[in-house]
Amino acid sequence: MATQDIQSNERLVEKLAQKTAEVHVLKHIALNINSTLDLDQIYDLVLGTMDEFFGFRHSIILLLEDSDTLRVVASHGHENQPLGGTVPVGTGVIGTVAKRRRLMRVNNLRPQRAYFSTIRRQMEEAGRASELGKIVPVPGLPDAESQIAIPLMIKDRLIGVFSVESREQRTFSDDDEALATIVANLAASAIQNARLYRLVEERRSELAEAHDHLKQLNETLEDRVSARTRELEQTNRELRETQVQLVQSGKMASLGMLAAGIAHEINTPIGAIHSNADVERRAIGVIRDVLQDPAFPEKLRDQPRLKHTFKIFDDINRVTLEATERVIKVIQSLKSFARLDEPELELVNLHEGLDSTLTLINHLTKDRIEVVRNYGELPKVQCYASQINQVFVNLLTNAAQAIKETGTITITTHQDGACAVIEVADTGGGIKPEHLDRIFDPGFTTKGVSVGLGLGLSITYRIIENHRGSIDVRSELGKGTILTVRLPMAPPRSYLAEDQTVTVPLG
Amino acid sequence: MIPGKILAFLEHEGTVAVSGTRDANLIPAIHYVSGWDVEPDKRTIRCSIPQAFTDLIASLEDNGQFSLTIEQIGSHETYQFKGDYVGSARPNEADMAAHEQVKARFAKVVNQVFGLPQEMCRAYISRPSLVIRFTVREIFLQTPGPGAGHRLVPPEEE
Amino acid sequence: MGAVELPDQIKPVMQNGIPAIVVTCSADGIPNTTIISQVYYVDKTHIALSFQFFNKTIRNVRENPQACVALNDLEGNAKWILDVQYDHSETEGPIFDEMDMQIEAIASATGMSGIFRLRAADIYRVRSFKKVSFSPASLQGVTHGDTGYTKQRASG
Repeated sequence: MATQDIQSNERLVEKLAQKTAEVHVLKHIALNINSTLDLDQIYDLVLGTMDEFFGFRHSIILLLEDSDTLRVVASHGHENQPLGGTVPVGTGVIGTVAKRRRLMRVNNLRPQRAYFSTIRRQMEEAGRASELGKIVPVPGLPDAESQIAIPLMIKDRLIGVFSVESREQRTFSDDDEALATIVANLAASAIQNARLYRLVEERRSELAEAHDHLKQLNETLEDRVSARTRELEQTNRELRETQVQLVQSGKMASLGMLAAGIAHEINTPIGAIHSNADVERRAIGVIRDVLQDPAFPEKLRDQPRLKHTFKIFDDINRVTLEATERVIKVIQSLKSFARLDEPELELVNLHEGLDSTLTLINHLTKDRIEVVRNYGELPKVQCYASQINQVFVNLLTNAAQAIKETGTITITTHQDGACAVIEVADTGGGIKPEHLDRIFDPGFTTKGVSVGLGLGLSITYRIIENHRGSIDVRSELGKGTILTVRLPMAPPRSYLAEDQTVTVPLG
Repeated sequence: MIPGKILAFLEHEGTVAVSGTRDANLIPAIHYVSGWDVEPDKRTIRCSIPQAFTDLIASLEDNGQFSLTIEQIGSHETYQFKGDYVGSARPNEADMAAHEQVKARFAKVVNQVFGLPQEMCRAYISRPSLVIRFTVREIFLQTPGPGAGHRLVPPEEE
Repeated sequence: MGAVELPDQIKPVMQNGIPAIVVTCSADGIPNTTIISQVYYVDKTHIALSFQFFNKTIRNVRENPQACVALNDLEGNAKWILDVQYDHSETEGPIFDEMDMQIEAIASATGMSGIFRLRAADIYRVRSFKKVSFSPASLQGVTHGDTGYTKQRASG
């Protein structure tokens, strides 16, 4: 009995030592497997350690590729088998383990395979081949005697299979099975971690890329939106101006035609009156000469009533002549101003345009505003005369309207290089600073809705812009406003739109 | 009685044999067989039984029912012989020679198929201490597969 | 006495891949001896045999539940003889799955899935067992090599 006890103790000690060694190896695997996220390192660690310490010479790791297929991702001790071999789920030991998600230990693999093959052969010989299925080659040792295949599970989900085979007659024990199971569980977690990490990295980089792309798009979009907004604003303004111009020009055109018609209709009778007055004056002269004849009784010749009557004739004729001349001048101004017969770009004497305009707005200035014509040397300027005249009407009308009671409008012209400069200064109330940068906007007015459309300066701006000129404003509240127009003497023709709206100016 | 093909199998190919009996309560028992030989009448088989399995005489003398199954390990070719107990004897030289042959074949084949050492296999086939003689009444094909269970002798009626 | 319990050391023998032997007996008293590929350990008092084909063994135990099973332990130079009694058949559950899986694993790779299919796991209760082992002397060819064996039998 004593001998038996000693032997029993020795066995226990031996077993304890073995278990301790196993625990150390497992600890080694557990510690190292979690220190890497590299799948190949994980495979090497698992398969290498199993070989080195537990004598599992032939092992493979397969991962589930899709629901039907496992693919060999790591192999140890299968020198002639390249990685990447596949196993259909449900086929062979590995495929069956994957299908059932249950560990399997087979200890008589080769005899069983031989047994099944023998029966297969017998059935083929018995003419029953049609009952047989395909022989499916599976990765691993063709002559394995024993095999443990363990499903790699993450919770309830299969991710692959870990398989160990042996050609040795020594079959895998319960201890081997337990050991392989622990390692398989460690491996499953590590593999999943690594795969998740890889996935996260991929997703992160995809996200970063997408983010960059989006950012780029956003930036481009912002630029595009802002450019487009500017374009739209510009288009909107142009559209509004065009609308305004269309309205205005329609109005102006009809007024212009009316004015031209009036001028024409008045011209003839006024001409007749004027020439009649002249004829009358000369006829009176003839009568005077006749009265000086010595044959004409002196008593009658010196009669005071006759002398008085002649004086009345002289005065009337003078007034008639003066009045008709003035009317003729107005009519000429009107004709000159409307320029209905001159829609082409032409060389224009700006001073004439200014003078005509002043004649037409005389009713605004008469008796309360002194107009100072400070004209300098100014060659003719190439422009659309009717449009420029409209500019003058707008500038001078505004100037006159800015002066509430009495004051002065000073018109100064001079040449500045290739430009003609026209400055209109008034001594009116001035423009509020907050309105200054809006005065050229269509629809902006300080006159109240009933006074005007608020279009004058906007049209002015547009006409000058079309002529490639410029306009600016200086104003001081309570002191007055100076508007300065600069027009190129000869703007490149291409700058001037071919379809300029013919605007007929009128105050 | 025993067809020539099966006689040849018994003489040259069978590698492992086991026998069965049953007692008065129909409780079956297994008896390992360490060797066999066919008597000249070609219907009586002599089975060598190791000492550990010789507790079968009582049953045999009571009811005489005996079954013997012999397989060729590897090919799985297997036959079952059912028959009636005739008598028992101590193994003679021929029985011992047959036993040695069987032991050698067994060791060789098991070594090939299962990879176990031949010496270990030889030790597994124990020396016989008793010979059971029985006359074959029926022979069944027991090779796994499509014809398994088919009675060869007497031929099954189709 | 309580029920006979199988020792743990029998498990590796059941898993060693060496075929086992089953003897049954028909109701009219004819014994039937077969060689089977595997005996499955269920628990300390039960084993299972696979029922793949309808054969004499299956027929016999359904008319006479008594059976005798022998396990071969070549490495341990021992033969385990089990007196068992057919209890019931299972067509699902862990035992069935385990046995079915083993068959499917091999059959599926050899194109034999249509042929080898587990119909049932036949569960047997262990009534008694004996281990027939051999002394080292017998390995050296001693004439009376067969040495003592132990035998237990449950009461009743």
